[in-house]
Amino acid sequence: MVITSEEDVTANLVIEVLNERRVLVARVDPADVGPDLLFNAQMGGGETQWSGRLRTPSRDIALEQVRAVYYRRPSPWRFNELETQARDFAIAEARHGLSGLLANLPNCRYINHPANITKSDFKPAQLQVAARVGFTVPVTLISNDLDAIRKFVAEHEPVVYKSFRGAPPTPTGHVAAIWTQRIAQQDLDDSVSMTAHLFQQEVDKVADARVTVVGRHVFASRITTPDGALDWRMGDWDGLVYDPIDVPEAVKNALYAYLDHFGLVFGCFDFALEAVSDSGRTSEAWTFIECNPNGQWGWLPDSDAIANAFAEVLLKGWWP
Amino acid sequence: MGSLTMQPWGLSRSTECLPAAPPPYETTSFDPETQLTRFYDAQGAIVDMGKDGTSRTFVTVTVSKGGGGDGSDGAAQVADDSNNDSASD
Repeated sequence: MVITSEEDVTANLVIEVLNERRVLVARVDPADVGPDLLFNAQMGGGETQWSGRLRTPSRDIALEQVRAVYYRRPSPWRFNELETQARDFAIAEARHGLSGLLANLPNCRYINHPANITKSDFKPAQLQVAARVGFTVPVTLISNDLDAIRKFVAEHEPVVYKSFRGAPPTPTGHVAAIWTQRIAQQDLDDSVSMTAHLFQQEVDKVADARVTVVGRHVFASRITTPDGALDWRMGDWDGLVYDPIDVPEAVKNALYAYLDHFGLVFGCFDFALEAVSDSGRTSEAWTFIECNPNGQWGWLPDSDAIANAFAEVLLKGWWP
Repeated sequence: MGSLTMQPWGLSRSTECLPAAPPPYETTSFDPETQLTRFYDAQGAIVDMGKDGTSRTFVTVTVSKGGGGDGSDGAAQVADDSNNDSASD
């Protein structure tokens, strides 16, 4: 089962490979709940696990026979025709009753389990676990205290600011971006106290690395921008340069330990690469920036191999 | 404490609103047989968003790349590829 929206391009790549392997795939978007998504699940009376059916206009499947779920990006709940109270009720009940059921299918593996995605989505968790499994992490401050932030900037300049989640859309639907950016003492003011802010000592990087891990398959690209931008997302994507890069064994082991800690099977890791000189030899030091437990990877040069790795890990042990 | 401005400091660090480039497709249709979504341009021609296609680099990491692509259309789009905070979990 692939849990995602209709417009999800990343899911398409995996579904194509699953079709090639003749697996029966059901694409399910929980937000379709209603006449186009009917379900029933029953247990108790001697049954210790859920069994029942889930029906979409094109599939009618037994929940207890779902062997694997690729949990991608369901649509936001709709219920747009309902009054606020009725809508809030419908959403809360669907979250618990339908999404809760889909997160607890009895004979199923998940890439990734939604609860583990949620747990590992918080940057305070990411950085602490990363440090514990042996990654170097940037010197980091999370604070809303202007004095503490000023002190941090003074001690660790150059310092960058990063938002945790980006800028939400305006009421008119416009979207802005908050790129990772270097900041100076004089940029700061009292308005930092209104909410949480994250600051890090800038890593003097020569390149970025994007490492996509699926099971024990590791796909890594070294990414450079023509202008050496601090945040490669801000520029022209077509100008990014991707080179294959070998992931040091110690980094690989830390990647696995990180994923295992959160119960993840898949993760998109970002690293900053720093040139270091060690007794005449130059090499690159890897600094953990973040791990997106539900990232997009279709734009990477390795995407065909990544899609195949997804299929392999989803089907392992129950499908030839 | 000095006077607080009306927005948290971090939000004042955002870019101007990004130009809303349209996604590289106009409409979608769902193939019940394969469970794949097909993407069409304004002329009704298939946009190859899948294997070997040129548009697979279409992502929602920046909204200047267009809305949609992960079903976040009309919802809380974010300017990176984190989960939507409003996704139906």
